[in-house]
Amino acid sequence: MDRVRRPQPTGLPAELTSFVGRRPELREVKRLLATTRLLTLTGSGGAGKTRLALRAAAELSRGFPDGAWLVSLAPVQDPLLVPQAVFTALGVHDLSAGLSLSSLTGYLAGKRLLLVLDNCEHLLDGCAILATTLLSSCPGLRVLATSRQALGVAGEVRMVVPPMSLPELGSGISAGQALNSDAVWLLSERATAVVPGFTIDTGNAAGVVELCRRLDGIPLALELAAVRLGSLSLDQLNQGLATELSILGDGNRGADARQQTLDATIGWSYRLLDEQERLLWARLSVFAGGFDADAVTEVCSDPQLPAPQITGVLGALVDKSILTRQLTGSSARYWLLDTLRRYGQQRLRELGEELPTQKRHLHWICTIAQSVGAWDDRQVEAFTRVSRERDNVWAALDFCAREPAEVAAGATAARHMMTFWACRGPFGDVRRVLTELAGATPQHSLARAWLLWVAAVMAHRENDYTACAALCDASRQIGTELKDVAVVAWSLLVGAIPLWAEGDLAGARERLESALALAELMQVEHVELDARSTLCGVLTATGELGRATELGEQCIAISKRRGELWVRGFALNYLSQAIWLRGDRARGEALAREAAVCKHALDDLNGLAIVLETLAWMAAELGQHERAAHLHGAAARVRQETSQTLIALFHTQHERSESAARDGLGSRAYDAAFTRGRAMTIDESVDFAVGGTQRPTPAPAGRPQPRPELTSRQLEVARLITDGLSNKQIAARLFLSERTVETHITNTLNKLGLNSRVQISRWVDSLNQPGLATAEERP
Amino acid sequence: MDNTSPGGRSVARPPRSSLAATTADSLFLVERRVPAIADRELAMLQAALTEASQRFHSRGEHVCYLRSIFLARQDRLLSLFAADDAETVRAVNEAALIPFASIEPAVELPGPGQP
Repeated sequence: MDRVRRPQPTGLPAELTSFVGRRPELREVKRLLATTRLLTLTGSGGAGKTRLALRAAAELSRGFPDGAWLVSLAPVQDPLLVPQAVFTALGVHDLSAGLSLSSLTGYLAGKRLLLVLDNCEHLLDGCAILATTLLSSCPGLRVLATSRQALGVAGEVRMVVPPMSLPELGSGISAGQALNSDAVWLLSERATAVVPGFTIDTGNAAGVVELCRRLDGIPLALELAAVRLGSLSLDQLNQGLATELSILGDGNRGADARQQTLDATIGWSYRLLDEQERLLWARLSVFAGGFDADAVTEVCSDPQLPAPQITGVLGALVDKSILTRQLTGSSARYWLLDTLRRYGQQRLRELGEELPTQKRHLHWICTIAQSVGAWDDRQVEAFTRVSRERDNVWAALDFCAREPAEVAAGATAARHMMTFWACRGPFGDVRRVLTELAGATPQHSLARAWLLWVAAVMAHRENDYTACAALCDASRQIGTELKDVAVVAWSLLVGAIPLWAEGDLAGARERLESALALAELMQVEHVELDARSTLCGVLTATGELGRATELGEQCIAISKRRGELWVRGFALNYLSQAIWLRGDRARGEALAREAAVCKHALDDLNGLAIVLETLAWMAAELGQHERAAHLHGAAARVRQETSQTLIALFHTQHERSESAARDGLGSRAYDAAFTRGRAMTIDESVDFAVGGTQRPTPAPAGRPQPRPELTSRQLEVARLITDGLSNKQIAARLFLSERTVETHITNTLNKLGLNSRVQISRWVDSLNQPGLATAEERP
Repeated sequence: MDNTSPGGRSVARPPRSSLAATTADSLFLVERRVPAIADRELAMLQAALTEASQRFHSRGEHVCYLRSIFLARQDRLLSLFAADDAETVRAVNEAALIPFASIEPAVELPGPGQP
């Protein structure tokens, strides 16, 4: 049998700039990680801990079949969200009903994997417990942590990341001697990016060495200084920094002194920026975990920083090494290094803009949430966007917890986000955070009602029906007092689910009918949609198939008009059962297959498990016993990844279906088919469920990356950059304004995912390779 | 404003005024829901609480994790801490990465023969 080679998973970001030097340190990290399962790289901010850890992890990743993964903890403020940060880094949704730490342990238990926990210093205790717990339960796991302080747990090996090596003092140093030190090498490498053709020679070697020594060999300080060589001479740079750093004295250059040097260099770098750049740096510090240009325009633009100039200022901050930029899909995403983010936060406070900028950040999150809450054809895209902005969502909710006046806005965002969280979780953490927020609101407020309602949905997902019912009752009570129909209707609707789960179909029906009547009366279409779907399910269970069919079809019609998929997936599932029971088996099964597609599109595993179960029942009744066994296995596997348990009402049907398939196939064949179904990935399960009775073949791995397309004008500008022309010269040559040339360069950098003109030059050199075409050159 | 919400989950952050009122080595009962928890997970939870408490204690904070009682039929775990204040108990539980439903001041009534 041919063995399918699967691509090795990797969770490390691409290196955006060249990795320079650090050979002894790299050797040492690799040597230590061969002998210990927990290595912590310590050192002051800007010492290069993260770069060293990432390079070591990349080089070691071949030894870990389940990959090496970066967990960036800088954006995390709530220690209880540390396990979620790991789940997010691993690209896994935590859909468990229990403890996240326990779920994570279960997920990692059988894996051989390297976890890089980056920026642990502000969550030292939580990271220590995380490392201890995971390492004691997951024998194939190794942890490489970076932190200003060691975690302080048994078995931890610490390695201090020193400053980069410096050349000896002396005026007669040669260029070759200077370049033997990592600090000079780094400075030279980064200077080349801003001054094409920059080299270290006998004429400037002494000045370069002086600069590197002045900056104590701190990588971040060297990077910030080097980019300035584009506008200042080496002498000017040395003089400027000498003045800036003179107050620090020449004492012992220990860790504290190096931190002071870095702080002073960051301050110097900040002051060299123009007013707009300084302002943007400060305002960008409200983002957690990255941002795109649209978000920056939304949160940071005003008359001082007009929206049309935002892209240009972002580009300038990238050029000056304040921001890093990475191409994500078709757009660029930016990050502020944690050290620089903290500096920006201080400046924002000094400017008196912390509160208003955080409010704008919250309102930006509310806008994103609204696109989720619109229940329209943007649903898949909106889910993807919220998923990308998870850190910013948590930061916005954390802001609400600190600013009681903003809880109402947070509650609105939470209400809109309900469907996303219901699909992707993490149920326990969302419920905890929202319940805490509810505690900070007045007892009889709409904000509280909505927060309790979303918490009720999360409780339902955790199978905590008692809490779900109590939370719904409390929300409904507030809605009744405030005469808010939407709150009352939604609370009735979600409050029906615990009754349904317990088998009280009459009680569930009564609530759902009330919710539907209210929704129709007041034209609250979201509730109408969901109430019709859920009522369709309940009435199918009571055998009222005519009305169930009517409601299901009405629901799907509304859903299709709106373009949403979440309710439609459930409605199609319930309608498929009603239609099946009425005797139209072909249509019933077709509807269930369509339901699987809807749930898969939204990555709603709880919903998908329900639909796979329905399809398994249908296959068993059709006498397709092997297919039924496969589907039961697939449903069991999806359920295992989620919190979902079969409600009591469905146990009989489940057992009957399994027995029929087992009797039809024989126990041994049933177990084998079930196991094969259980081994399928989610994608394979859906392909199988939707596609027919054949096992799907695995999708081909490793599709070639599309090459970036530049317009002919962008390519022309890129070629002139390679010829060493300045922006002014390019503008004159092409009869363009300098601003237009800058825009072309910024767009080119974005498209290519590059950071500097030198990188553009190198890219142009690769044009001689066959197969590269601009957009216009393509037929 | 009130500090409790329905669903068996009371707001975890006790009001500041109540923290100020507690005395050194007061007892606090931490309640959490642990649905369908396995023995292995209970042991993990116990180890995490113990280690977090010891970390705090070792740097001079007055807090000690005493014991837990698991109510299997209710999926509830009750953990008893001695500490200066509820805020420290909260910090220990957060550091242990184990969410909780409530932290309440408690009074222990020893049985006969106990000190």
